[in-house]
Amino acid sequence: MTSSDIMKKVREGIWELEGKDLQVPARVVGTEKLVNSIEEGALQQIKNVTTLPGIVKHAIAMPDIHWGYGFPIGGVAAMDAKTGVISPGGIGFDINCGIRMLRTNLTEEDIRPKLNELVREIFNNVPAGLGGKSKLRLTKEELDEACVRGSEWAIENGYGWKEDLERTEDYGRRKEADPTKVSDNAKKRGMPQFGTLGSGNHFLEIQKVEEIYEPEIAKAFGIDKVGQITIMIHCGSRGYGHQVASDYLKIFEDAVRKYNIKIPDKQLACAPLTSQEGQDYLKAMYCAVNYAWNNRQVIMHWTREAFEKIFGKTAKEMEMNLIYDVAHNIAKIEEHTINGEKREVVVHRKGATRAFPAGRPELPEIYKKTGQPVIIPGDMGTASYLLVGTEAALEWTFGSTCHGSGRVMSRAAAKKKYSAEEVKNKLEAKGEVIMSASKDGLVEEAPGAYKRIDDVIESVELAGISKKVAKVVPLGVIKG
Amino acid sequence: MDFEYLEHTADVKFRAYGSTWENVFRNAAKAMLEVMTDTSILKEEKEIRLKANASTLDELVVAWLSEILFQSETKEIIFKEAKPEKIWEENRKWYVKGTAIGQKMNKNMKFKTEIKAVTYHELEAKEKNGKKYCQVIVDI
Repeated sequence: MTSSDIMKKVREGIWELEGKDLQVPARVVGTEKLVNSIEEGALQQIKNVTTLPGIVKHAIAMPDIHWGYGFPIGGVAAMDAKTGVISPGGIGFDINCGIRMLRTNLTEEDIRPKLNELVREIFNNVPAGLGGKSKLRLTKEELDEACVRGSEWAIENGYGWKEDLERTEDYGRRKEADPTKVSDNAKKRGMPQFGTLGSGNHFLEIQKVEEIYEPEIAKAFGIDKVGQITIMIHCGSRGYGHQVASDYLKIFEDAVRKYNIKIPDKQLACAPLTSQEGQDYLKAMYCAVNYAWNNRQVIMHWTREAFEKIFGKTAKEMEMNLIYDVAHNIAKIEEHTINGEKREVVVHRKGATRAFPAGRPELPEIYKKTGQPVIIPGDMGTASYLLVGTEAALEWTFGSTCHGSGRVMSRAAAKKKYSAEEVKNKLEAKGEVIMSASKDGLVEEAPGAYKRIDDVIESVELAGISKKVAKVVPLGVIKG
Repeated sequence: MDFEYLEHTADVKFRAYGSTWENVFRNAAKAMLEVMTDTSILKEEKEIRLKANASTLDELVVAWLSEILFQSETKEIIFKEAKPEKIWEENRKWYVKGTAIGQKMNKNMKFKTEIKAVTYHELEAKEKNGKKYCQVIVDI
């Protein structure tokens, strides 16, 4: 932050930025220490977001915010569904990048002796990194069907259990999806990558529960005791989603000229939600959303199979139930109360997670009384958190919270500072088993390149937009 | 200097230079491909044709680099180089055509990072003191 970004405290954990030409306030969630450390470029980006047509109430930066393109990563904004715009830059290239978490009835003692073998088995089973080829090769027709039906498609084809559906945001399916709005190029990119992890910050982690903060809610989520083994899978819609975003950004560059929309950054290209371009993008984006849910569903299935092979028990016997799957790059039309009035808005969450409280109609029966499970991964050297959505999130952040720890060091700087051996040795000294598809990937994701996850979690708790339920630490890591 | 990487926290930002737009586009491709792998060790065994168009010259840089990524992923080739033969403007639209050459992907290759997409953020294609350059951020 610089002196030009003067912040005024709105309430505990929420700050307002000063700036000219802002249509609505630009707000930042965080502890005083954390908001003072946010890079200037990212703050400028959240101010830019406030200039988009139809934006309501305020634009919000989450505590894990960092400089992105168009929207910052860790940005939330809601536009009026009738008069506002939809912006692909407010969702990101990796549409429905997200994270799912599984529980098991295994403990650290059960898996320690076989941890090396287990990580190797998963690494061999789940393709990762650039050029990681899927074991599944769908035809174009199968891909279209999968992108219409979401996780239902995977489950019907033997990748998972029926009960996984209600444990996925939106039951793993956006019904508005229409593959006729998706280019052949996107489908061509998506076909060989269906069922792959990808690279960058994507990962698959075997973890143990280290601390439980809310025993009752934890129990409802399937977390019973310290030492219990959990699994997290972080990936998105692969080349399919990247191409949908690229295709529509190009279309939207022209739409901006057509509808005479003034934007401060080309990456904020947008079109009225009700326009042909806006509607087409929505339907194509939801195909990518459904692709990503299938992708995580298939990867979860292969992970369950790897556990079955190594432990000689069925996944059902090991009670490898999905806790929840959340999307953190998505836009959805939701009803929110703004100045006492109920309104339909299109909520853009880019690097932000939905965090609905108990009672929201979108939640499945199993979580209607507890609130929505929120899964926040940290870097591979520290910890990740399971949280729950709150009423304050609805009031202050359109039912949203953070999505991770957020980078503080560039990938180039991380490569200068660390070596792959050093990162691996350090983590192994802590008892972790690591396998990575690329040395560069390992270094770029070195724990020192991220904000402290504990600071981010402290920030969302301070603002009250989600509540800690349990903390997990990594034992085995598969990196793309 | 053909290209240089600039500081960016989460993604990769670079500038590519040249005396002609064809050279700038070629160097931009080099900068992008070097993010994915060490191009110096790649063989020149597969060549494919490339073409792209856009409404403005800076948007053409994005279209060109996006086309290289698309061909790489769908043909499963990792490119060593991409060369534009011609860049031109016609009826208020910009066009590029050229070739890319590289090696079929295989399991034993050492990759660096996958690129998700080419962004429009802080995009530039300009001429300053007779020197042409473009600036691009790719999402990884």
